[in-house]
Amino acid sequence: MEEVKFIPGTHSKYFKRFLQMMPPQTQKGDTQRLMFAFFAISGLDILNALESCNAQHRQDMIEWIYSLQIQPDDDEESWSRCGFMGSCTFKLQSKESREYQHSHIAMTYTALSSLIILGDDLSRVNRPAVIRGVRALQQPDGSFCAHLGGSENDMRFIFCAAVICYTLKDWSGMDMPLVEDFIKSSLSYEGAIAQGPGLEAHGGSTYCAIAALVLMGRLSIFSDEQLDRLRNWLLMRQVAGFQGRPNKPDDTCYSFWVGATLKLLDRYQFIDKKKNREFILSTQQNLTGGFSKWPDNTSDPLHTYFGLCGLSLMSEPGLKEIDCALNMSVDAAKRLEQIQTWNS
Amino acid sequence: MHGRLKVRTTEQEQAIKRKEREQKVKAYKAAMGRIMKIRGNVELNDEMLILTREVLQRNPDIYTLWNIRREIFLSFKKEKSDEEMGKLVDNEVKLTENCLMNNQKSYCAWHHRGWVLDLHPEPKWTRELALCTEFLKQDERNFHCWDYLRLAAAKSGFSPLKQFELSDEKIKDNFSNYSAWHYRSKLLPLTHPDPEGNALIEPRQHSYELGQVESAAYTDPNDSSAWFYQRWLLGRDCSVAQRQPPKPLLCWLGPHKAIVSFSKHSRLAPQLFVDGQTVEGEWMMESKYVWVLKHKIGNVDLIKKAEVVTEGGRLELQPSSIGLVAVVAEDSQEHNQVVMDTLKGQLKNCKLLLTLTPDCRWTYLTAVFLMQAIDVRLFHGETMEFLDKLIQLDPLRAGHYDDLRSKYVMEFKLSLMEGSFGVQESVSLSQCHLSSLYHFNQLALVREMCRKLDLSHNCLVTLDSMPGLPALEWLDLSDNELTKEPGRVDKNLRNANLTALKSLSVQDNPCSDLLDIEDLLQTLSFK
Repeated sequence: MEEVKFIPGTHSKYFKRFLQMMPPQTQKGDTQRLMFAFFAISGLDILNALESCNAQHRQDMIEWIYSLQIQPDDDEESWSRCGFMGSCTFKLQSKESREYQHSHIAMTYTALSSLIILGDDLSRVNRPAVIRGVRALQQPDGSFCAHLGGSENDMRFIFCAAVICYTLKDWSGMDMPLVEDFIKSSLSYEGAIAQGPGLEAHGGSTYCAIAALVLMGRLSIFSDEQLDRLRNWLLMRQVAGFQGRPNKPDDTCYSFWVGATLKLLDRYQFIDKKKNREFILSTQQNLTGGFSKWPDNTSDPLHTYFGLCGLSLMSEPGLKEIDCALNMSVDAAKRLEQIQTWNS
Repeated sequence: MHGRLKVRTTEQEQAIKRKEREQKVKAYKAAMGRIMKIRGNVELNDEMLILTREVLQRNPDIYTLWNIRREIFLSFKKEKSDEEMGKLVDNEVKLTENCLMNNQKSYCAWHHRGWVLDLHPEPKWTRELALCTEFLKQDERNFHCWDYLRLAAAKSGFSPLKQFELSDEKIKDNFSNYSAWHYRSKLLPLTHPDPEGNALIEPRQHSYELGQVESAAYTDPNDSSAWFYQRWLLGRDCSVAQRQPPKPLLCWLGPHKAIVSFSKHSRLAPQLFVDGQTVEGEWMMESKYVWVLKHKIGNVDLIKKAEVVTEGGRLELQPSSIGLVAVVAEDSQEHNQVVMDTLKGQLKNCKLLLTLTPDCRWTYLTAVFLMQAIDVRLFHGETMEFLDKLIQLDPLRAGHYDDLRSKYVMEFKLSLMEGSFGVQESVSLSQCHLSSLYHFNQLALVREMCRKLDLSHNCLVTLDSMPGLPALEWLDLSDNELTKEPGRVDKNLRNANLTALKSLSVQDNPCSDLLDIEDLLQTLSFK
């Protein structure tokens, strides 16, 4: 079989096009544009292609992100709504309708991360307001909702909350023991972690839980035996590429979800890198650029981003190293450290 | 002619598609604009419902629009009659169904359905169970649906026992074992808890479950979920051991130091009594398993009675050539007789299964875990054999099995060391296929005493888990795979507190040329 060549240049072009204008297929994501932008911004960073983006363009993106920040007003209750929105779709001008403007936790997370990656120093982020907005979303069982108006609650939003608190160095955004309880009760009989109690273990939610615990500094809630069983489950997910659950086909993004978790648990060195790389590249779309979830599908920003991350974990030449818990380049993570000079 | 027609049609089709898309986007923008304009205007609720329905049928993932509908429904609840409310909710439920037909994994649609049904004067939750069954028939792994099923069962007032029976039915209904095991694992602790409170599941049911796994394994040994279920049943989560406090395994009292090492993570410091008096000093947790006390006793030869007390038991120390020591024998650790018998029974089944299906990796892997749990020394040879077989059958995970090998070799060596103390001054781990240094941090006493350590002829890539070895004078790392990564091995050695080291060999390693032994030895001794 002919070896597929990795074409980073084409992927850069894919993301740059994307940042200019989102294709029609992503219409459904209109209100979550910020998240899509994050995939492109962080993706370009990992491709070492962000610097080649016009400086004005980068500044424009920073301004656009800040325009999505929700600030509190005189009403004490308004603090619970703070954070970032996903797009200006629901941006309202009149004061009366301001109460309908809520942040979305995944948009707040991707906003902060994108700002750091773009070189901003977060000085215009209303830190106390963002943190209060996050705390307001925590449920009695420890999990988080995405949106004050109501939404489902699960492990994805715990990860978002953890990154936000870590980034702004303010853990009052979550009741940590409650989060730990939720994570522990989401362990399934297989020894891995589900979206919530009662559900089956899943590669994505396992990443969210472990990365959150690492950021919280609380990986120790699991015994060595529990961690070994988890490592075993994760290593069993490789079929060529990685699957998210047993008896499911492999899918490019799990090369990151499962791979990064293995890195955080110090067992990534035991995967078969050759087979993993072959699979990821089999989902590379040579004409348009990007990666798709399976071979012969259309590429999309999410799978493109995580496909690149999956390759980066194997030190693919031309790609930056990733900070597995923060889900951004190590460069960006270092820059975050430098700007975190606030007193708590 | 045919070709040209085709091309024209395609171009035409593309143009039509483009126009459709443009119109869709236009309609979407118009609808969204109007929605934002009239929000909060109670009189226009009906229009709002029409508009949001229009957008949601194509874009079911816009939270805000579902929220707007929820606001309106909450106000309906206050003003409408029961009959009207019933109709409205029925329609709303139908809307979510349309959305779900479009995308069976829409978080919003499932969430909204569950929310709105609560507003119905007479919600038919049992009908929801039938809906879930239908959806699960199409995609049994749809976890949104499983989550909703639990909600529906709870709202239907189904007891955990009734839900358990429901899941049993589904197994017969031809759901794969995968989901059945999962459902059972969640319900059994509720329907059949151990009345004594010693385990998660009551013993007879526990045996029954093991029997179910056995049948499943014979029917389809390659169904991994059965094997994971069995491991769960036999593991700490289900058994007595989890509830027991950490047991002290090894205690040593020397002239200036005392060490206690435990069976599992111990959060509480031990207490040391010598001739009836508590020994003063601060206990420090050296690692998860090991506590250390620096004291001022001095000469321990004159001590008549020394005792260590922990929440998991007490040990009386006896004099030996290296100070006062207490060691707990392998067999009396963790497992009681009933558990042992179960494990042995399961191992027997595995071996029988292997005669029928000799190429099933799950059987070999399970057998390895069982053997290690039953008797590390007795089964050492067979464990190594089975690991070789696993590497053959499952080359994708060769690295993982190699790593398990290192772990079990160390456990074997550990079990040998506990009996004879003379060995501890000189430890040989040469030619053991070691790719990692497992359990070293538990070999507290060995580390304290060890003067000579032979790690030659192994497969070590780094020495990341090399712990402090303050007494070490001689270290042989020759013929390994120690990495060329600049500074890595260097750093490992400095972190190991090798202040007494006089002789070091790293020849036949990728990093051999990078390390200046003389220089390294000099700087290590200055630390």
